[in-house]
Amino acid sequence: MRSRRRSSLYHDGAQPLESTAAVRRGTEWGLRTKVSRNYDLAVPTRLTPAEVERIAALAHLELTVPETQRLTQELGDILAYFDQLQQVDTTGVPATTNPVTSVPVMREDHPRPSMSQTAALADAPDPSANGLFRVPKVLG
Amino acid sequence: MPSSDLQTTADIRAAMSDGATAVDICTAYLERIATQDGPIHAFTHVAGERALQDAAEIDADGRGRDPVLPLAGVPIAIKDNICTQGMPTTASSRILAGFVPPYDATVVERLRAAGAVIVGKTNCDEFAMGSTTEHSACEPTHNPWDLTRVPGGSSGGSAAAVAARLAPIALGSDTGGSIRQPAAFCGIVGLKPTYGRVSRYGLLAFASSLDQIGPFALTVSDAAVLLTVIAGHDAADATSSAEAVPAFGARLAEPVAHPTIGVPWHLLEHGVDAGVRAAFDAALDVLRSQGATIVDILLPHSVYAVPTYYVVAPAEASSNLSRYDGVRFGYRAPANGDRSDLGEMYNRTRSGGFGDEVKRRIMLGTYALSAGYYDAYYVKAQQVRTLIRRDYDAAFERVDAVAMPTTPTAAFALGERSEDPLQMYAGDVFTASANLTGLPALSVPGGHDASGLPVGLQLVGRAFDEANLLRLGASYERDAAWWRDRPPVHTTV
Repeated sequence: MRSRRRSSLYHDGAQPLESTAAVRRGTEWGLRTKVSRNYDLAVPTRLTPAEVERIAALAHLELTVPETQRLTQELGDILAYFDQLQQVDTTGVPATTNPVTSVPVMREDHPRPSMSQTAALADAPDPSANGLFRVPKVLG
Repeated sequence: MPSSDLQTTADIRAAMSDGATAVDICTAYLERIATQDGPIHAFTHVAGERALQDAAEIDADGRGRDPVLPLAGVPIAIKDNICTQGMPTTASSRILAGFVPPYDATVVERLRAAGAVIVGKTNCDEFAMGSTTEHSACEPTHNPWDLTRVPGGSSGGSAAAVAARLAPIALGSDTGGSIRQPAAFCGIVGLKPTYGRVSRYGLLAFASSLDQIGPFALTVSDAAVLLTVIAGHDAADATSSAEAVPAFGARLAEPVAHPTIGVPWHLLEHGVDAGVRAAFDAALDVLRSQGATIVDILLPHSVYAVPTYYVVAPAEASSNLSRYDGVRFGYRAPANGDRSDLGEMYNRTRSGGFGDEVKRRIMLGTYALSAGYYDAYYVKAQQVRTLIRRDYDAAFERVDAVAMPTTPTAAFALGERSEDPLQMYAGDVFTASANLTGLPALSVPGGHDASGLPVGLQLVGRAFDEANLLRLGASYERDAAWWRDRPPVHTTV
């Protein structure tokens, strides 16, 4: 099933790369709503290694070259698998963000004892003697 | 009673009324773990000394004989993504190596108050992301029924521990099937409670709109007793429900009168192993013989449950796992000479600390949430999620429960699916919709496939109606006591 999907998605040239790149540029300029109404356009044909690197930077991950190659392939396959969701007519359907049905219970806002500074720092990789989490320099 | 006959919490409590102490019970289980867990590797941490101390306290204050504390003196294993004060909690990830939580999760606090004795922490797929327990930074867990096979996952260590009688009960967490699938693969009972039924305070978050903590046990009755202890509103978890908690174990012997059980046959047309299907048909016959009416139902949008789940869960995971940054706890990558700055430390800590499957899901989720794709993937999946729930709501207008096999196949070989994420994800076809809808779902041992491996019967119920779901399961179990079959004992040489 996987190879069939892939061949129909990538090997018949149904969606030239240029149009996807144009859509992507458009969405970065705030045209998301317009694009989202046309899912055929919003779904990219194929991930590129450059895009995988861009996503890795957003996720604070540093990928090796083989990792980038492998993830380009794997994520591309998984995203192609997600394409079937575009077949579902969701016009006017509200999004479910979570299945909570009851109204959240608010607690009284009273001060309570909390964890001691010593306990909070006990697991820190680099605690300072004066009770802080020490980190490398922020500005170069 | 010889200690090798101890299996259920009832056996343990009976032994205690006959004079056994909580320390005796704890010692017996620690001995089993020491001699039998080697080839299985269910545990990542055995809390020997601490467990014996806790057991001695229970003996000293007499809680072991208190009839309102059915778990007092009963050993329990806890999945390693649930915080235990003073005991390592790593979610089987290198990024939490050495992390010892300064507090107990609410479920652990409730278990301790009820007198349960925590004997150890169990192996899982890293941050509960996986279906085999192979994606653990530790060695994988092996299925006690066949050591060449996976125990399922992500809560594979808890399931294997209970199946091998190394603990009578255990806790797991279920985000897309992570309790029910390993329960099915290991031939035991596993329950994912209704979303909101059990506090997640102290559960290392994976996907916050899907995660639930739930029980593993050999019998439905033990699962019910354990659920009763851990369920209920918690001020520390705003998503926990104020819904009243009945004593789930109290009315299990009363069968549900003439239940109507829906089977979505259209979901079973493809990809279900013949042995699993035969066991499922036989399980339905048992339910029919008990007076149930089996009807065909349609859950048209559940065919999209797996892709929907794999958009929603990684998206939420990518956000939840941003907290692992090497600053406050866990692993930090060593400094990279003078070039080290904060951003670089974050990147190298996360890249060195997370395993492949976790990175894959963080990447997938970050992509699905990124500008331009948020509507096409995340919002779309959330809308399909609404449609999946509406199908179930419509079905529950005429049925009392929905029955499906828990998994399309029995346990597969170690290594068989670890290189192919999509093949692994496809195994969640029958379990993911209960998380997307929030509905409670129970997996009970439902016989064996042709090669003698256990398979699970899954029952999905109405929201917050675990009581009837458990009664149905208990009723099935009375005429199909598969839990009495035991896997071979593997001793460490």
